Amino acid sequence: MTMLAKMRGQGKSPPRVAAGEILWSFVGAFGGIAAVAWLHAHVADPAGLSMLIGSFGASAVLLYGAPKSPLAQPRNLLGGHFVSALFGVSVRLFVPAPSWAVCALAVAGAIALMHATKTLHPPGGATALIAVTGGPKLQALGYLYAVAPALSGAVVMLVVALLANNMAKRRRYPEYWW
Amino acid sequence: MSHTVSSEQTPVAVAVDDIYEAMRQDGGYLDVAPDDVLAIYRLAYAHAVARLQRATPVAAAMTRTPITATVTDTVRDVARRMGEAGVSGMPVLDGRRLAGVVSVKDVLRLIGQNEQASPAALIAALLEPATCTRSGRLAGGDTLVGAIMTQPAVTVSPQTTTAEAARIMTEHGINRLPVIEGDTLCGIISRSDIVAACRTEVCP
Repeated sequence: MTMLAKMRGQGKSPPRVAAGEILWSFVGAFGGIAAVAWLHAHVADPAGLSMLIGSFGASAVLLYGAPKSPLAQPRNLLGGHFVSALFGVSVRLFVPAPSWAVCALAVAGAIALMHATKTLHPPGGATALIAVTGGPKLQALGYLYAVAPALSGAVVMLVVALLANNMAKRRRYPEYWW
Repeated sequence: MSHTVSSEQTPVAVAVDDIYEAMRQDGGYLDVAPDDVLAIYRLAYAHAVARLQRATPVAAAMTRTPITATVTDTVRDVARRMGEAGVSGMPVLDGRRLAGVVSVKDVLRLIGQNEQASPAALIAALLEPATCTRSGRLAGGDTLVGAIMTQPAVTVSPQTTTAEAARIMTEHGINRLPVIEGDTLCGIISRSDIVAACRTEVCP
């Protein structure tokens, strides 16, 4: 198949999900982000810590919008955020390169690492990028960034996913744990 | 034996539209495109076929109580019984021991016909005036089966796979294999048994 033929795309686009699925995606995401944001505002932030980073918005899409996806399973959620955060912080601390190259290396390396550890979770790419580009408050955390906000926020979202997705009659979560 | 698993055709031609409908019926968000589901389904189907072909033993597909002849039966008697039962051959026993196999081919050879002759060729020969006037009836009917049977018979054990049995049949150009355990006949497996087994195993 030539490159041009491949670029045309030949597959059929998947169907729209059922109405109940849309509702439960909304309910789950609202609960998950509410929990993380509330903990950030009332617990973490006063203590000089953080619970809320942008990549949790992307995790919410997977956890509450596509809970059957292998990308949304607990191993991927927790592992993806954790290894990406570790790698992102390491690149920022130890790679003396122009900022564009540091950004690129953080994300590309995080993807490779998630693949190798069977924890591919797309928001992990954002977690690695934020480790490099985040403000002084996040940078001051050092490797603590991998535990809070990255891992702790993911755990909170996981608990909400277990509750919200299993409350729905036609949903179940997770497909597998590890 | 190696099985090349390719995107084999499935018994019911599942189309992308069927996958699409199934995904819609599921209602949830499946993180995969319909064409990829179809591709995986076809590969999985081919794997299932290969696994079942490897795994089905002859014992599961054979006829357990075959019609048998004994070495002292006459050819006339055996031919009549084959006709009544609608089979083209049967195992020949000597006491309890399997002595050989007799088939239509052996009988045709005895009466001076081409053993590969089709029913149409035999009818043509019977309608030939020369055949009828030569004698009222064909000779050889009193011959004993033991004298014309094929021996030793090609046999398989109950644990032989149907795939292996099919290979043996093709290699020897034969249509049935007595299934023996030790010295005892415990069944017979024919080409049609294998065909039937393939259908029921693959699409129950």
